[in-house]
Amino acid sequence: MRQRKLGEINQISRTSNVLLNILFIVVIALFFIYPFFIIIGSSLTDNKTIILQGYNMIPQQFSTEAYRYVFMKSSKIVHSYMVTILTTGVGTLLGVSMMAMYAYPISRPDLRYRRGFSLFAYITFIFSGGLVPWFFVYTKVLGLSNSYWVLIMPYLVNVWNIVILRTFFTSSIPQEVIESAKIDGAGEFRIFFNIVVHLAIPGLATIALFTTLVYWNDFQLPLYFSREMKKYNIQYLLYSIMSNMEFMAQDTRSVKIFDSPPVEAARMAMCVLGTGPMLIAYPFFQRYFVKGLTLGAVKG
Amino acid sequence: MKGKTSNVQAFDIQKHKGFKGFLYEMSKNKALYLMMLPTVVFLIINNYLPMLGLSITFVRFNPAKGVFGSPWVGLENLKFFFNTNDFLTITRNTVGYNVIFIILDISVAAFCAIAINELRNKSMARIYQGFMLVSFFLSWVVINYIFFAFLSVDRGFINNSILAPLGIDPVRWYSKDAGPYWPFILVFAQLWRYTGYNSILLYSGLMGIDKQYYEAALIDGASKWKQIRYVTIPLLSPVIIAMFLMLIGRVFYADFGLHYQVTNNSAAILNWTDVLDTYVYRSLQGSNSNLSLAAAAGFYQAVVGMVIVYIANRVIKRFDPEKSLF
Repeated sequence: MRQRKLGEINQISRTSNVLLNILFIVVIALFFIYPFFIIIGSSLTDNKTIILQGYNMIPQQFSTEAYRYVFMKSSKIVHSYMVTILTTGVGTLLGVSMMAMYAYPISRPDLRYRRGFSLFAYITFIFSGGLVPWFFVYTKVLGLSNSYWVLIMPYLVNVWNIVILRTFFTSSIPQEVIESAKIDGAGEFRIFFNIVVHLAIPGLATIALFTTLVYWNDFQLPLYFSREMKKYNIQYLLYSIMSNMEFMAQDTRSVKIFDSPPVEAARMAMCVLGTGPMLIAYPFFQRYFVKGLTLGAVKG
Repeated sequence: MKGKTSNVQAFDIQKHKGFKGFLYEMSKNKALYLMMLPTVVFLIINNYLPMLGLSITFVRFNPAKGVFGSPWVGLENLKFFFNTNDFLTITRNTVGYNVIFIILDISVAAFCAIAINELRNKSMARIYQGFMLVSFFLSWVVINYIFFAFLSVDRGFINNSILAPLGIDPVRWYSKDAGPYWPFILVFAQLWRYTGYNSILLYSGLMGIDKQYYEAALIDGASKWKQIRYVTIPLLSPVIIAMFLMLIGRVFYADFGLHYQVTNNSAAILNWTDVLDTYVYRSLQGSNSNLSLAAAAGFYQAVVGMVIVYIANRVIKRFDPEKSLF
């Protein structure tokens, strides 16, 4: 028998290792790679071929017609992309600042009412007004329906993130540093922005990533509040194309160029354009996200 | 260090009691309280004001008069809601789906986490994790597109490229006949989206297990399977139980995106897919909106949801005080 190396002693056998690898590769290829190729393949297939043969991975009849058609209407896509970028940018920046500025004081042991303020936030976990009164607060009390601001405001503060941040502040910022800064005459805001924020960057980055994801993938706020296409973000534009094709129908110019709009292929082309940036950015932020998740799980 | 600060604090409190103490604290830490102000205002508007608004459940709502000016009808709206057939269906679906999700989410994720942890080739393990996490970053809208590419009646991959060559009649997936398939489709969609995410959470729990346990088990002659059975799983179980209780607390709330988008909002299959969140939304907006029904269903969800969260938290507290919230 071949002698096993020392590091190999406490590992699963080579056979089970191969079997497990095969299992993972098959599952990932079938469920996590193949679907994307079907979407991309279909978007590059001639529309008539799709109608005859259905969506497929390999274009039987290659055509870029769908993309030409979608780009002709690109002003709408570009606009809704801008809405998404605006809401994501403003929402993340504002939201993370607000959550950090709430989590930091309640992590300070010398703040007398910290328990009260923690409870004030945690109570929202138990008691909730539900969708209907919440909807009326935004539409009737604040009068925000069909505005850009209503696509930002509701997701600004997530109490879970406050809990994670508070734990992070408590465990990663030594009180001595804060106290010596105080003795040197630094004010609370200066301590927060110059010291605390720098020490807490890993925690803040994780929360920022979570918040970005919430805004970027949101379709619910436009579903509830947006009344005109100008206020649609990219996800909701995609949704409205899927649900009633108004986007495809309400255009007369296209009829002259395309004898019939390549609806089926264009649908998939829109999906590619809507997902593309996220999938391209994915490999770059995935590592940080996994790190952040681990951080939240261990400490939260 | 900790003792020192608490001494200082005790001194402060002794020196200033009552309202004077309150003013002293406010002036001493005014900057810190100022920092919290934006979130306090936000929580009042976004969370506390809607709680008051729950009284909409007990009035016949008149938009002109507002929630507090509308005529009081007591329990009429709730009674009406409890007498609809929908009430039982959506309760069954909301709780049923959540129970299945919790069981399958945890067991599949635990399997993946342990398997990835045991793989000999660590670099491949990281690549597998990366691929399985992709779906977590997609929106439900995009996931709807992906499922539509498979399930569409005329153009879908399943009907055209799998069932047709086998000589099986196409299935009208989004219509009433296919309703019984939908629990499986939704469970699959949910697992597909969250397994990567959940398995990373559990994987980080595995990383926290001391290697010495395995070395000791090895010396005692435990095989790899025995080590998983008697070391890994018992030491992972606190993480699993915390996850389980957290999910149980949410058993009366559904993932709106899953039930609204992946079903393509198809009305024909509501009996199998409708949950409280989608029901409230449909009653609030859309062609046949019924505000008092929406308010009653929302109230039902808020109250029962509250009780369940409270109980789950009490159990967490008994089990692991650090993980409980209050």
